[in-house]
Amino acid sequence: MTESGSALAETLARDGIEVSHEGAYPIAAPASEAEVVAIVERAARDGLKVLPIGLGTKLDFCRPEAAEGACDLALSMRKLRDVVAYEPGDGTLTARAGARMGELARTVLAGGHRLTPDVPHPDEATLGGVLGASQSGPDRTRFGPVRHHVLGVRVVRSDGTIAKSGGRLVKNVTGFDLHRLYCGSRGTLCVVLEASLRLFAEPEREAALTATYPAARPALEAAEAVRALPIAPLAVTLEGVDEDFRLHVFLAGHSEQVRWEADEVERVLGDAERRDDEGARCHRALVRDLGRRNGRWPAFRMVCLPSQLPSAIDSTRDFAGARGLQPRFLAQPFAGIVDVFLPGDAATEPESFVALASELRDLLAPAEVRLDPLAVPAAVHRALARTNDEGPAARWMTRLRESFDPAGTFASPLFPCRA
Amino acid sequence: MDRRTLDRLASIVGEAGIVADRMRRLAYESDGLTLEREMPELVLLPRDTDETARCMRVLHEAGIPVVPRGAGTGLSGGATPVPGGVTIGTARMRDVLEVNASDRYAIVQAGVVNIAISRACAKHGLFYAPDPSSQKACTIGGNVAENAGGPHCFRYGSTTRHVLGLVIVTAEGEVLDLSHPVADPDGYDLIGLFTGSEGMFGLATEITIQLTPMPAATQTLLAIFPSLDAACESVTDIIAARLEPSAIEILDKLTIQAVEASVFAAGYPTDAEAVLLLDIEGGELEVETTVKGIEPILARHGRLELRSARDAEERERLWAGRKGAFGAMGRIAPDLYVADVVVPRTRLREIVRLATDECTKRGLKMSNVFHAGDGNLHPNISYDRRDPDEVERVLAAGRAIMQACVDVGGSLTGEHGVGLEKQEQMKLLFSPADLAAMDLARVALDPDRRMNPGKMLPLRACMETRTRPIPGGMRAEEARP
Ligand SMILES: Cc1cc2nc3c(=O)[nH]c(=O)nc-3n(C[C@H](O)[C@H](O)[C@H](O)COP(=O)(O)OP(=O)(O)OC[C@H]3O[C@@H](n4cnc5c(N)ncnc54)[C@H](O)[C@@H]3O)c2cc1C
Repeated sequence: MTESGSALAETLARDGIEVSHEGAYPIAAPASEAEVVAIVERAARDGLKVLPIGLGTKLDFCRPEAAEGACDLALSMRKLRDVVAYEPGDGTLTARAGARMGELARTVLAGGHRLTPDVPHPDEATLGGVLGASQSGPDRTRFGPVRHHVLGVRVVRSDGTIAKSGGRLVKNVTGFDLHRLYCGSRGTLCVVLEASLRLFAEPEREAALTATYPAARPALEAAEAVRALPIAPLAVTLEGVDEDFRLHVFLAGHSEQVRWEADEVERVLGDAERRDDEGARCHRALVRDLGRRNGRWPAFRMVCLPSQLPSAIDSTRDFAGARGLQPRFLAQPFAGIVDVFLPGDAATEPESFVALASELRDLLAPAEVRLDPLAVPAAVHRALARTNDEGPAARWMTRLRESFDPAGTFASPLFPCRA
Repeated sequence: MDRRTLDRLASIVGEAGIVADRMRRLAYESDGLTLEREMPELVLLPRDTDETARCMRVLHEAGIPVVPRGAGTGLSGGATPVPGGVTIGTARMRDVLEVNASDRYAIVQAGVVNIAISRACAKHGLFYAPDPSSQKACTIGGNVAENAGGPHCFRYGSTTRHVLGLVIVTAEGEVLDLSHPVADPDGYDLIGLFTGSEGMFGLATEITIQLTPMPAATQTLLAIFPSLDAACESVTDIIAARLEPSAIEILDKLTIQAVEASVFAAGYPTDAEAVLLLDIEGGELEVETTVKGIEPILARHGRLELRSARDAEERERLWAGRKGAFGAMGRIAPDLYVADVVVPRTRLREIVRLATDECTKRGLKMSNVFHAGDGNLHPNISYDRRDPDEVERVLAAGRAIMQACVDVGGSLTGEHGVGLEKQEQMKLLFSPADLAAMDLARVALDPDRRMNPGKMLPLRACMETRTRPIPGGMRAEEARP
């Protein structure tokens, strides 16, 4: 904990703002927007670094505690959790950043709507955290990434001013889409106070089909066959390890259509286990929650064209296998995203971990497979980030960050691309 | 512009790529918002990214402002030249560079016309979903810059949802290659930020777009209504019932009559007060169920007749009428002011009525054809630009409609952009702090504010100042303190 951080924490506590001291830095939990502004202003004035968080479940993604002095104080939005407006007639929802995704999903379900993204462990994920990390769930197969459905936001900027972008309308091009920029910016540009999302119809019926395969490749071939069908599945997830892979296809929509689609998918998959309605919903939640296993996020995310997925998985499996590791994969084949979980002990030795990560990245690069570090030590983050440091794209990002946060008040030192 | 700069530019783009003589430059004086006109100092038509970047570097050194231009169909003055500025058009960047059917994307040059993309990938059973009514003319670069919409964006979303990659030439002439299509950006979402930035962050030379599989089934319905109110209320109820057709469009009587008297005649009944045109797409059973859900709503609101297109040909005719509606309006008066506002979909009827009243009381002829499903209204005012008094009344009605939309939680534009037209109204919707945040993004990416200056952000609110004088003077409003 930095000295200045604890001094700030003390001052805030004196001002009646709740501050806790659980981890590497104090966590302030403001109870109002005015308190959020006060914290940011104060930190900016004292030259301190604040990390905006929700419940802190995705801190692995940027690991500030590992970067010495990178964060003086975390600002948790967890207390600002109300629904500002649910407009069933217009299919939109506006909520404060600390609202739990699970709670929001239940709120809109009452009006016949569904919320996307359906993230793992939705009762522990806040809206602000999901947007900041640009997290998606398996339903990305149908709905695409969350940034497509954020209609507008209100934020606190690094100088303490409140600014909005977009609005609460399903269609709107007035002004720059700063809300898209904030999505996935991991708290480096602003603190999100509230956001509006577009909603979808809660389906009449759901179905889930699961088939088992001895390797990733045949499972992905089956996924490709599903993709060729004239249907739009809600989610298609591949998961597995070693010689045990499962492909899950989730369908949702009008009853008759879903029944027909399930027959079609069953025909393509051959020997598949089929679940309907409540069974399908439960199974969907189960598969969704695999995104965070035993409280841990995946070590890496591979991002590539869907057609590159089989070789990306095979190469990673062989590469890790040669080092005595058995990675577990969780993929969204239609989106070209694969999360890689490494066995717990792989992460213990930072130095060899850095070497492993760098080699793996170099191995995948020629096929244009990008390796993003998630839950890995800061050293690995840094090792993988360095290559992105050059070029006009990195310059634009740097300039944006400097423009929005000239004093460097917002901490997330490992993002977007500098060590 | 000095001789040396001109020569350097000419040597980059060659004779075919430079428009210097006055008569030819006249064609670039305005975009679809013909109320605003300005003669560009020079027009450049580079052939590719490299030529564009080299031109931009020369212009950067000379401190000359740049206005990107696609087909010039924009309706908010986004492509209106700026005094002393150079317009860079994409008319010679018309190649489809790659169609990848297995990964469902295409890479095209910025000057490719929207509809050409769907044509290029039709043989793979794929199409490019955003379908602005101007799709036979407008370019994909212009679509990206405006985040264009279209009837079927109700289901598929506006342009931003379909852009997977970009090659951008920055104000300084650097090339930002973000063309490789992957699910998530590496760092900030620069592509999402660029989309809808109205030519103010740089010039896109190549676009990677997502292709969508053609739906298994489509049904097109035409519901005929005895009143515009009833058509609007039906839409509000369809949305509230969470039914998801792919397009929901309304045309009112004046529009129907103009369409039917034009080459776009679609067989709409000319005595109807309004028609509702719907496309329902998806799996066959899904389409069937959605239609079953929609029918009683239409009946409840007193639809007089419900027609269903029998085949692809009839379907195409019905849509050609809708997409040709703006063009057909030329029969009513020489000029058309196309307003473009958005309201919550629970307030459709109320604002359509209000817009009608605002025009009636000013003695203006107004017609409606709009993306009702998205709450995106287009009150279209027919006028004659040679009549200054009428022009004044048109603008006043436009302002009143925008204000009314903002008052009910709506917005200034759903797809045409802010450009010059709505720049001042930005202050109705956004506080100085909101606008300042937008300006932060702008100065980060174009520190000299040379890309499409004097557009979108109201000048006084964000205290736009130029770091360098613009050769040839400024717009009158820009000179204001
Ligand atoms: C009859 C008619 C119907 C229309 N219907 C619709 C509709 O349904 N939906 C809709 O959204 N719009 C519609 N429009 C408006 C217009 O067609 C769209 O805004 C379209 O996207 C503009 O494309 P363009 O190529 O003509 O661009 P232009 O008008 O040339 O330019 C528009 C803006 O984009 C910028 N720009 C152009 N190319 C680039 C580039 N390569 N890089 C960076 N900036 C660039 C320009 O500077 C300008 O600010 C309609 C217009 C007409 C005339």
